[in-house]
Amino acid sequence: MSAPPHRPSRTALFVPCSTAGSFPGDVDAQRRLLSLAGHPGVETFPVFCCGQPAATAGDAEGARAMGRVWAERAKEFDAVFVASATCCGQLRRLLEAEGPLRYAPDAWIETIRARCTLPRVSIYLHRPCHDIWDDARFEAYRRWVADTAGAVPIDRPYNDPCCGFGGVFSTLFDETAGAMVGHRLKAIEKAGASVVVSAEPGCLGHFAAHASTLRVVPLATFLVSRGIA
Amino acid sequence: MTLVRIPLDTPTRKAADVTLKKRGEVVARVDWERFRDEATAARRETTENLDALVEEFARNATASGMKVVRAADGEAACRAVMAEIGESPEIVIKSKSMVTEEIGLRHHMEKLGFTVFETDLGEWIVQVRGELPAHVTAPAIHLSTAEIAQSLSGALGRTLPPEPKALAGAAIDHLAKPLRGARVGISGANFLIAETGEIVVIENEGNAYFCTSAETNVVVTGIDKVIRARRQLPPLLRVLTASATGQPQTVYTHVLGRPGGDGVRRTIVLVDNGRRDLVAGPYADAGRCIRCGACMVACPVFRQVSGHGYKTVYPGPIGILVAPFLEPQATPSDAPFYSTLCGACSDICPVRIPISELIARRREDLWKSGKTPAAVRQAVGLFRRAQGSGPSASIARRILLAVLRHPALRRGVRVLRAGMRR
Repeated sequence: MSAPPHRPSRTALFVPCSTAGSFPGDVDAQRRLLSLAGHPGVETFPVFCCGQPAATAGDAEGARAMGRVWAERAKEFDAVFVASATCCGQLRRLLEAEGPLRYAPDAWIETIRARCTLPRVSIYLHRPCHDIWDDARFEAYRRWVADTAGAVPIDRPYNDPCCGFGGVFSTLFDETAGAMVGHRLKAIEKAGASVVVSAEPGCLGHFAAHASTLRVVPLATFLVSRGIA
Repeated sequence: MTLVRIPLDTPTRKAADVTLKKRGEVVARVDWERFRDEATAARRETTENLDALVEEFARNATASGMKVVRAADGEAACRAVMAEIGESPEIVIKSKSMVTEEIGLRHHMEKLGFTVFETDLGEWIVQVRGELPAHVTAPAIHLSTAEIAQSLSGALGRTLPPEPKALAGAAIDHLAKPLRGARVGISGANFLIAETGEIVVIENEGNAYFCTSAETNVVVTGIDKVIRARRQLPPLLRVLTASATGQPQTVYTHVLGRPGGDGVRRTIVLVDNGRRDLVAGPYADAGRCIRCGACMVACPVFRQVSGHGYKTVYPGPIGILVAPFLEPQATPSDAPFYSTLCGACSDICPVRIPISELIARRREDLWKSGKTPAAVRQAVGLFRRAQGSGPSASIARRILLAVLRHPALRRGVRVLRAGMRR
């Protein structure tokens, strides 16, 4: 019996629609970090959406169909990195097997050991409601960002569990959603942070749309701006 | 929810923070998860055996000397109350009861010429303002002390300072006479014990005592308040009080059993009004609700818009699930979207109702019935088209990216659409 033909390893980066729309520059930063983490030459994953907008709108069948498109194309790759916890979570729910799906920040945390030498900066590290990490993992991530980027993450200065994004929620009720994130931005600023950082592009786009004085930066862009890659 | 001016810092958020802090202190001191498990099991027994438990309660309450009346809906419940207290207008005192809000009892009585005093402080404040309660256990949670002082000053015809003690004192002065003199008291119930026919009422202000010990006491409550046994009460009271007000226990716990000794003539009106349908269908878990309001103080949307944003007597996350059954006419069709689906409601619910998951299911039902807001359907259609290939997919992607890049576009589209509707 002959061995199967050798196929070169293929990796891809899935660019969530919210990243492509709100933070297109972050795609390059994500590639640089993946390269530093031992994954050079990642291709752009040729699918636009994970199906989450359909799922949160109530179109369960539509979401499954979109997930199937994603899964079918993913078969062409050994690893598909996704820098969004909610997209990752959505795909995990939809896919029968995780297959090549990888949460990009996992790859960064596990391999990147560079250290920023710039003056320390106070940041607010946003955690999405539907984080795929448990509390311990998020805490490890928080320490890693602090050590790697020379950042001082502030403690959570508010009690509201959600920034007000909620996908379809902020689309339908933008004034309410804006007030919700406005309250949080005010609390963050009062607590002394100067930058809002997150690996969750949906929430971050909501922050960016309402922030006036605070900088709102995706995690990869932030790390690159701190000289990590 | 978007038509009101929305400040960044709301009285609701501040009050909710106080409740959550106190709740956290109680939770840390007790075996909270065990109490939750026991309370959940008790309430699950209720939803799975509702008819049998109501029957058992009615039998035992009747045997104790109480009169039990069943009411299929709100109108029937109002008629039943009037049949008990007579048609000649008089002064009636009333303690807090969400069911009476649900069926519009006070308004019904006022139309007939009765003078009804809401004797719970929060309820009296919203009565004075002509509003619905903004929360199931804290009716005036949406108001600042200054707003309350202004409203009560107007009602009493004298200027009151914006100080809680002074406002409570004014309320006591105003309500003392009717509390002591009214012949009829209307009250609600927190639990009904099937095996004994007893009614459990908890409160902090002492007003429910007067209402339940008036010459004629009419208890108006939902059939879903029934539990099987007395021994199920301690964990239920524990999780209810901690979740509602952050107290380990309320100041008063009344267990009303065999009347007679105190001379009270007691009638209990058991209201269905959609509750049997609720527990018989896919949202049966929501029937476990003990009306603590914890999901409301934890909900980021409620904390911003407060209860009135929901337009229903039962607001907040649990309201999104129960209001379509208990007050279908008042429930806005887009109510399942008054949530970010963050899951805080499911996490905090003391009887483990998977509220967020059920709200997501309501959205699915809405989608299947074609009643999802048009803007949402159009957006999802674009996303599905963008997933494909060819020129139309490319156009869809460009539109979506433009909207994501410029949130102002989204607002512009909404304003244009609203303008076209006008």
